[in-house]
Order: sequence, then structure tokens, then C-alpha cells
Amino acid sequence: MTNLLAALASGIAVFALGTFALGRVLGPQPAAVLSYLVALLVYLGVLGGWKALVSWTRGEEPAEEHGWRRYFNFDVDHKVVGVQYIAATLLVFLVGGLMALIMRLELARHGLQYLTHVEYNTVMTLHGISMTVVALIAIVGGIGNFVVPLQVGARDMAFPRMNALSFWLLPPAVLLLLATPFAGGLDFGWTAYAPLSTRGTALGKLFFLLAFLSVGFSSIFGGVNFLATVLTMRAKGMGWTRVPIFTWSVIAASIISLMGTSVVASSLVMVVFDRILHTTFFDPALGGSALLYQHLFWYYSHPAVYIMILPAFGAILEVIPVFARKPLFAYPIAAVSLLAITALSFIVWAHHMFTSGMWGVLKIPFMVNTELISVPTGVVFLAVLGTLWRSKMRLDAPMVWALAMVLNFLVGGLTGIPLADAPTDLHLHDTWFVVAHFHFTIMGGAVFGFMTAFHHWYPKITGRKLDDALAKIQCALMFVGFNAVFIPLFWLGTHGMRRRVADFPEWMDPVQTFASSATLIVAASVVVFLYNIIRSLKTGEVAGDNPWEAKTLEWKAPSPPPHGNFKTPPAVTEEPYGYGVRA
Amino acid sequence: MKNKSVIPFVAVAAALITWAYHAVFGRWPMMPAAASAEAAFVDSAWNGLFAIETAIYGLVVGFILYCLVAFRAKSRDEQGDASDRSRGRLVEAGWILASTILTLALAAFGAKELRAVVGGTHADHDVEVRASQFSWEIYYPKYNQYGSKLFLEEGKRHRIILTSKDVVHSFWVPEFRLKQDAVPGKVIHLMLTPTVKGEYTLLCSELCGADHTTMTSLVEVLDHEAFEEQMKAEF
Amino acid sequence: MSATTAQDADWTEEDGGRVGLWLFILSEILLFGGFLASYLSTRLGNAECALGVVSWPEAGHGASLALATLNTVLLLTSSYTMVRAISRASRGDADGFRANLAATMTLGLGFLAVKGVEYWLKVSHGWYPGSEFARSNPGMSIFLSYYYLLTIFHGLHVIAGLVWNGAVYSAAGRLPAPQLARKAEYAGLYWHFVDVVWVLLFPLLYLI
Ligand code: HEA
Ligand code: HEA
Ligand code: CUA
Ligand SMILES: [Cu+2]
Repeated sequence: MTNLLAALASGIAVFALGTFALGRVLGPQPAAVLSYLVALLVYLGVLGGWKALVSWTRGEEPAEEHGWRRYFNFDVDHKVVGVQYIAATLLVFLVGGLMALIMRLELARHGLQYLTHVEYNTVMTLHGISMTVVALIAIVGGIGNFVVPLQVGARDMAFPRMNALSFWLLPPAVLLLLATPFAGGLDFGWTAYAPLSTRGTALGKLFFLLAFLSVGFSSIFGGVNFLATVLTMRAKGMGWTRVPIFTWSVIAASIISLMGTSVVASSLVMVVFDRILHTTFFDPALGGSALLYQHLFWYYSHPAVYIMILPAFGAILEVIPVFARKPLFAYPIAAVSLLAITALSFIVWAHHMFTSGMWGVLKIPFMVNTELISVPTGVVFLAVLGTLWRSKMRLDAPMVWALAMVLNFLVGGLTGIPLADAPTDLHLHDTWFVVAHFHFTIMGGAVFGFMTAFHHWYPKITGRKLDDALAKIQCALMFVGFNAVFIPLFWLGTHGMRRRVADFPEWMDPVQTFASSATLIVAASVVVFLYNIIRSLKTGEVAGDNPWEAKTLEWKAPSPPPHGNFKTPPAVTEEPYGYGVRA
Repeated sequence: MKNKSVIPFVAVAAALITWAYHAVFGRWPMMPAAASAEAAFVDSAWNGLFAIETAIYGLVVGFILYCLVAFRAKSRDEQGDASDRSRGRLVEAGWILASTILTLALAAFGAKELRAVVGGTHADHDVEVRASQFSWEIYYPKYNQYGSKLFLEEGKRHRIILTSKDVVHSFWVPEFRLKQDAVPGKVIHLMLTPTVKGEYTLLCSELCGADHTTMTSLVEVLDHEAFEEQMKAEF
Repeated sequence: MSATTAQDADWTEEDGGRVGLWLFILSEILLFGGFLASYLSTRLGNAECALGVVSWPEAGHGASLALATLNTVLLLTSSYTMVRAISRASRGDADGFRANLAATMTLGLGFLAVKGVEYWLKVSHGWYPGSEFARSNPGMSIFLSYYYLLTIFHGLHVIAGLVWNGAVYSAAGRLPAPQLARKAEYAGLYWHFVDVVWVLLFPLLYLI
């Protein structure tokens, strides 16, 4: 705790002083970048990174601590890191949600009531980026860190120290984002298109870029770590046909963060250079290219959306067989199609650029590739439906969440097709139809998927149970509220509601007001959620090692699992998901 | 026999959906009134997709609802039957094949409509539209006229020549169903054939900075005479 | 899937280091890939340039070409000494390892020094983005933009490599032979990667 505070304090001090002092000499922006790099090192060093580094060069085992304090330290146990990720996810989600509430408040009526245009853009951008971060880290970082090593029967991740590093890169990023409103604000949305993002001298824009870069490196390290773990540390007898589907989905997501993130990093770095070194990468007047940024950005940021959704698929496919008491239908091809989605996701990026003035002929292949993604995604749905058929469903909370996720994502996925379809996208691009589409996929898919995973593995993580009734109430509230907010947005979009505008024609008022009020239902569901967690941590009934009678490895370990996870090395002797096969 | 008992559910679902469809979209049409030749193609592409996807949605949701009713565990220790692989294989193959064919069909259909929307490069009028933070400047080379309002001639094919002075903006008139970014350093042509006289709004639909919201302008579609008049008159 | 905790089972932990390092290098390759793809797509006169085809500076600008060639030699030699260092380490000969690693690091520092001179020359002639000269000459402006981007990032990777080597160097005494061999191998892998990147940059920045 003190440790963490010291680290943050020293980091912030270095950053502020450096920016201020060097600013005199170099100008504020270059100063900010330099001092951020230094501040980052100082912060990580004080936090415990230095110790970890030294012990690494000595080839020693990483030191382990005990007690609640470890959750505020540079702790290397994958279970601690997982919990840290989950906590961070919830915090950032609350912040992003708060932004959403502010946004909806402003959007409840036409005209400007509470915010100026710039303030609206800032809130909107912060909402977008923080929620994107949430969706990126929630399942992979949080649930994945906790569950994957257990599921493959390992004692920890392959690189525990690097694991801690990838988590502790996040707090500085979040702090930077929270600082942007006080440093001139943001006016470019979470996509930060150049040349808009290379203009102006507001430090806020620079903060945004640095934060985005930090998160990027965090997820690269995460990707390396997961892949190395699954490739080299699977328990005896766990051949590739016995790897649980959730682990498969994390593999797929990790491949994406490994192969995509550094490319978006390159584009962001170029924007930073344009801002601080007067380079002209995106300035056509001086030989640059404006479209270049969009290509680099979407080459990563499209696959990124599958970093969000693949683990969600994994989660529901893991949960449904358990509560359907029936083997996962089409398990092998489901696993393969997760990888197929990964592969396809890298050759569809220009579907975000149908109106950008790129070479017209290219639209056709990108359209075809994009729509082909619905085939492997369809296989995921097949696995769901096939598993439900002739099952014996137990409708415990995780199952309810899983089904809600399927219903939501179906809408999100299907509305992706008209966007992938070049002629209709000419009309729909940059309207609220897109906004509704990706809320149905990210919130309806990734967030509901996270909720599924959270309710499923919560007993393993804490050793206690969440209240089933409360969980279902929360699910109902969120499902109804969420649909009430976003279904109308499709209609607004086709009728001329542009993205990223604070004002709109008066005749839209009724619909907008309706959406805004419905947001309160979602907010209520979030409150119920928080209450349920606090309640169970205080007085929740003890869960036992395997409350759901599931068969994957993590349920063989005690809940919560001790340091080192398993008392004796486990060995896998059966096919996964052998439910209903009475042996 | 179980398979048969699905049929009524599907039927009911389908019926419900068609009813809801008319109830809702009869009252609130899915798209604003169309006012350009291109819009026709966009709308037909949209309607095609919408029909197919409603069907898919209905089938999937119907199936899930049926399972929820039919396959609940009465006592906690009940187990569903272990899937029988041989049937599984067939279903898998069928599903993959079907969805592949369907997607490719959709893509082909889309490609066809896209070509129709883009059309040829012949044009009756050239109009230069210059975007800059945060306003539109329109120039009519043939008449050497400047203005901020976009006048178009009904039924004639216009070549909109889009440029941007600073950042990326985007040209959008919902009733025309056409959107095209204006990119600094590029000259982009957009072919457009308005078909309905009247006033419309030109919206900048790419976030371009602080006052992106207010970057709108008026569009007026006039018949031949009125258009010629307008071009001679002072702006 | 049900698991027995059979007696014969044991922790499967062939250490993931090599795999992890290769994966990390893969992401590094993609980082430079992003830069190089942008450089080439912009340079090969893609239609998206402001003034149509921008006139890029013609290849090989005297002094800097000489310096760059020198640098290429330095790095390639350092790769060679690195190979020697690794083989010493694998034979458990810590001193031989240290000697060769020291040579490698000296060559690396030499590279940075030469690079510094080259920067100094360029800047003093006003060859940097944002200078009067660059502002009045789009071709130069965009070329210098990519030149500094690529070389600065490569420079940073050289420094990272040096730090890594330094860490292993300092650890060399304490570590048992097999561990040292592994750490040496990893440091070597990374160092070679840094060299390869330069071997790519050299022709792209100085010869075409
Ligand atoms: C989790 C996140 C997520 C996911 C999973 C998806 C999934 C998909 N998305 Fe979406 N998308 C976003 C998040 C996501 N998207 C975001 C954030 C944006 C906005 C970015 C910005 O501009 O800010 C966006 C924008 C976006 C665009 C750009 C729109 C524009 O700006 O003009 C497009 C266009 O092609 C698109 C398409 C698709 C498609 C085809 C899928 C497919 O993967 C969907 C596949 C699923 C199905 C089709 C349903 C299930 C399948 C079946 C039941 C089988 C049978 C079906 C058929 C045969 C059709 N998305
Ligand atoms: C994970 C992803 C995610 C999630 C979950 C959400 C959730 C929500 N989003 Fe958003 N959204 C995005 C990702 C997401 N969004 C992205 C990427 C964009 C694009 C940005 C851009 O264009 O650049 C966007 C844009 C976006 C817009 C369009 C802005 C514009 O284009 O002008 C709107 C408009 O209504 C909106 C609304 C909402 C609402 C009402 C919710 C609700 O569901 C929110 C529900 C949550 C809450 C209501 C929180 C409740 C919290 C409390 C009750 C306590 C709060 C207090 C404390 C902090 C203690 N979002
Ligand atoms: Cu111009 Cu938005
Ligand atoms: Cu996409």
C-alpha cells in the first residue's frame, strides 16, 4: 500500500516537475514525453520492478508475499494479478460509465444544456477509450490470468514478473486519461485520426497517445506471456484436443494482441513524432499521407475487437456445457473457428474505410472477407445451439448471463453485416447505427461475456458464492435497460444522427430522452452488481472446490487456490466436457 | 419426432416477426425518404440484408426459446445426453456450408449494388465542394459562382469534386444515401444524381474538431429553369 | 475434463524463455514492419502524396553514407563477437564469455557514437524536420521524418540490447553454467535481431 502510494507519488512528481522544468527548454510537448518515460521507470522501480529485475538477473525465484497488501504490490502470483486486473476493470468501467451518464444527460434534449462542444468531445472520447480498455483487459487480463494457468494445470504463468509488469503499466495510463480534461481536452474520438490528432498544442492529446501506447505494451507483454504459458506449461496428458475452449479463446486473443498491437503502436508513435519533432508523416503538404494513419490504425483496431469478443465466446462456450450438463457440441471445429476468426480479422480492416476515398476496387475483397467472418462466428453459435439441444439445463446465474450474451451478440453481429456491405455502409458509416452495432457487440457481447465469466469463476476466485437471485435481477435489469438504450439508436442512425455530435434536430428529442432514461436502468443494474459482490465478500456462503460440478482442471484445485495452485502435479486422462457420459 | 415439434415454434416466431415488422416499420420507416438515383440501390441492398437477417435472427432466437422450454433439468442430478457424434458431423457440415454460401451470396449481391451506386464517370455538372474547419465552400466552375449553399439540378448527374483544406471531413446527405470523406491532399470524385426537388441538409459526418457538430450546410435541388436562374443570380 | 493426480506425473516446465523471446521479437518485427511499410508505401510514390509524386532526395549523401557503412561493419562484427561469446558461455567458460561480450558492447557503443556524429552533421546542415530547408522542400521533409523515426527507434533498440548485455555480463560471475548459457543465448538472440534490423535499414535509407 505505502509502497504503491510512494511509487505513484514519485512518478507523478517526476512527470510534473520534468514537464515543467524541461518545458522551458524543449517546449511542453517534448518535455512531457521525455519526463513520462522517466517517470514510468521511476514509478515501476519504486513499486518493486527493480527488485524483480535484480532477482531475475540473479536467476532467483520471484519473492512471494502474503495478506491483502500483496494486492497493492508488484506481486507475481498469476491469481493476484488476475484479481488486480478484475478490480481495475470494474473501476475503469465505473469511470467510463460515469462519462456515459454525463453524455446521455447532455443528449437527452437537442441543443447544448450542460457541456460545450469541446467538453462533449472530451467526455465522449474518454468514455470510448476507457471502455475500450475495459473490454480489452476484462476477460483476458482478469479472468484469463486467474483461470488459464489453472485450466492448463500450471503453477503460474511462464513469466510471472512480466505478468505483473503488464498489469502495473495500466494505472499510469488511466491517470493520464483522467488528466486529459484538465490539459486542454480531446477532440478526436478514440480513433484519434490524423491529421486532426497531430494538430494543436494541447497536452491532453499527448496524454491520450501516451496512455494508449502504455496499454498497448501491456497487452503485448500479456500476449507473449499467455502463449508461452499454454505452449510450454500444459499439464501431462493435455494434448491440443484436450485444451479447454476458454483457453483456446485466450490463445486466439493473445495471437491478435501480439501481431496487431505493435503496428498500432507504430502509428501512434508517428503521431507523437509529428507533434513533438515537426515530422510530417500525415501532412500531405509536406509529402505525408493522411490515409496512412487510418490503414495502420485499423490494421490493429479491427482485430482488437476480436481480442474483446473471442474470450467472451470462450467464456460462454465454457459455461454452457457445464449448466447444460452435456458435452460442448462441435468442440473441435469450434476451437478451430476461433483461430479462423483470428486469421480473418487481419484482412478486413478497410471495412472501416469504405468512405475514406481509398482505392474503390479494394472495397470488394474487404467486403467479402468481412462477411466471411460470420461463418466461423456462426460455428460458435452452432456450438451453443447444439449444446442446448436435448440438454438438461440448470438456469443458475452464469447460464442466464451466457444466454443473455448470446441474444445480444446475435443482434450486434447481424447488424455488422449491413456495415460490412459497402453500398449500405455508404449511408450508415459514422452514424449512430454504427454506435448501436458496437455497443451490442462490445457491451452486449464482451461485457455480458465478462459477467458470465465473473459469475462462473467467482466462487473459485474468492471461495464464496454470489447471491443467485440478485445476480439474476442484475442480469434482467442490464439486459432490458441495455436493449432499451441501444435499439432506438439504430433507427436514429439511419435517419441522420451523426456520431460524435453534441446537438441534433429537435424531432429526435423523444427517442433520445427515452434512451437517456433507460441508461438509468443499466446504472441501477451496475449498483446491484456492486452490492452483490460486497455482500458475498462479507457474508456470502462458502462455495467449496467445485460448486458447479464442472470437469475442467481449475475446479480440481482448492478454492481459492493456494500459491502454486495444485498440491500435486495434475495429469489429464479424459476428453474435455464429458458430461452425461456416465462412466 | 422432437425435431418435428420445433416446426410450430419456428412458424409462430416467423408470424410474430412479420407482424411486428409491419406494425413497427409501417409506422416508423427504416430509412428517411430517398431523394437520389443512388439511394434506390442502397435501399434495395438494405432491404435484402434486412429480410435475410430477420429470418436468421428469428430462427436462432426461436430455437433458444424452444430449448429453454423443452430441455430444463427437473432435478439437479439430471444429465443431458452425450452428443452423438455421427449426427453432429452432418449438422456441422451443413451449417458451415449453408452459412458460407449465404455470406458469399450476400457479398455478391452487395458488390452488384455497389457497382450500380458508383456508376459511370459521365457527368452533366461539375461541382467543387471544399471542406475546411468548420464550413463548406461550394464552387461551380461552369458558372464561376461561389457560395456556401449547394444547388443541384433535378435528374442531372453531378460530379462532386471533394477537397479538404485541413483535416478529414465527410460529405453526407442522408436523403441521398451517399457519404464520402474529404481528405487533405486528395481530390475525390463523388457521382450523385438528385431526383426529388426540395431542401436537404449537408452534414459533415467525420469528427473534424471542436465545432464538427455545427459543420452543416443547405442543399437545394431545383428543376432546370430554377437552377439556371440561380446560377445567373448573385449569391 | 477430469484429472487424476497420478504419481508418475510431473510439472511440465521446459522453460518458456526461448518461445517467449521469439514471440516478443515477432512483435518487434511487426513494429518496424509498421514503420517500414509506411515508409515504402509513402516513398513508392503512392497517389496519396500532396504534390502528386514528391521528389525524394537522391541516394547516398556523401559523408553520412560513409558513416553508415562504417556502422554496418561495426554491428556485423559485434554480431560475430556475440556468437563467440555464446559459444564460450555454453562451454561454461565465464571469462571468455565476458571478454567477447565486452567486445560486443564496445562495438555497440561505437555504433551509437558514430550515429551521434551523423546526427550532428545532419542537424548542423539544417537537415532536420521543421527546419527552414525541410519546410521549403516536401521531399526532404518526409524523407528526414522517416530517417529520424527509423534510426532513432533502431538506436533505442541498440541501447536496450546494450542494457540487456550489461545485465547478463554482471550476472556472469554468479550464475551456474547452464543458466548463464541460457541467458547468454537470449541476449544474443536479441542482439542479432537488432543487427538484422540495421541491415534492412541501411539500403532503404542510404542506397535507394
Ligand atoms: C466486440 C467488438 C466487435 C465485434 C465482435 C464486431 C463484429 C463485427 N463487426 Fe464491428 N465494430 C466494432 C466492434 C465489433 N464488431 C466497433 C467498436 C466498431 C466501431 C469502430 C469505430 O469506428 O469507432 C465497429 C465497426 C464496424 C464496421 C465499420 C462501420 C463503419 O464505421 O462504417 C463494420 C463494417 O464492416 C463492422 C462489421 C462487423 C462484422 C461483419 C462483424 C462480425 O464479426 C459479426 C459476425 C457475427 C454474426 C454475423 C452473427 C452470428 C452469425 C450467425 C448466426 C451465422 C449466420 C449469419 C450469416 C450467414 C450472416 N463493424
Ligand atoms: C465496453 C465498451 C462500452 C460500453 C460498456 C459502453 C456503454 C455505454 N455507452 Fe458507449 N461507447 C463505446 C464503448 C462502450 N460504451 C465506444 C468505444 C464509443 C465510441 C467513442 C467514439 O466515438 O470515439 C462509445 C460511444 C458512445 C456513444 C456515442 C457518442 C457519440 O458518438 O456522440 C453513446 C451515446 O449514447 C454511448 C452511450 C453508452 C451508454 C449509455 C452506455 C451504458 O451502457 C453505460 C452503462 C454503465 C453505467 C451507467 C455506469 C454506472 C456507474 C455508476 C452507477 C456509478 C458511477 C460512479 C462512480 C464512478 C463511482 N457510448
Ligand atoms: Cu468537418 Cu466534421
Ligand atoms: Cu472492424
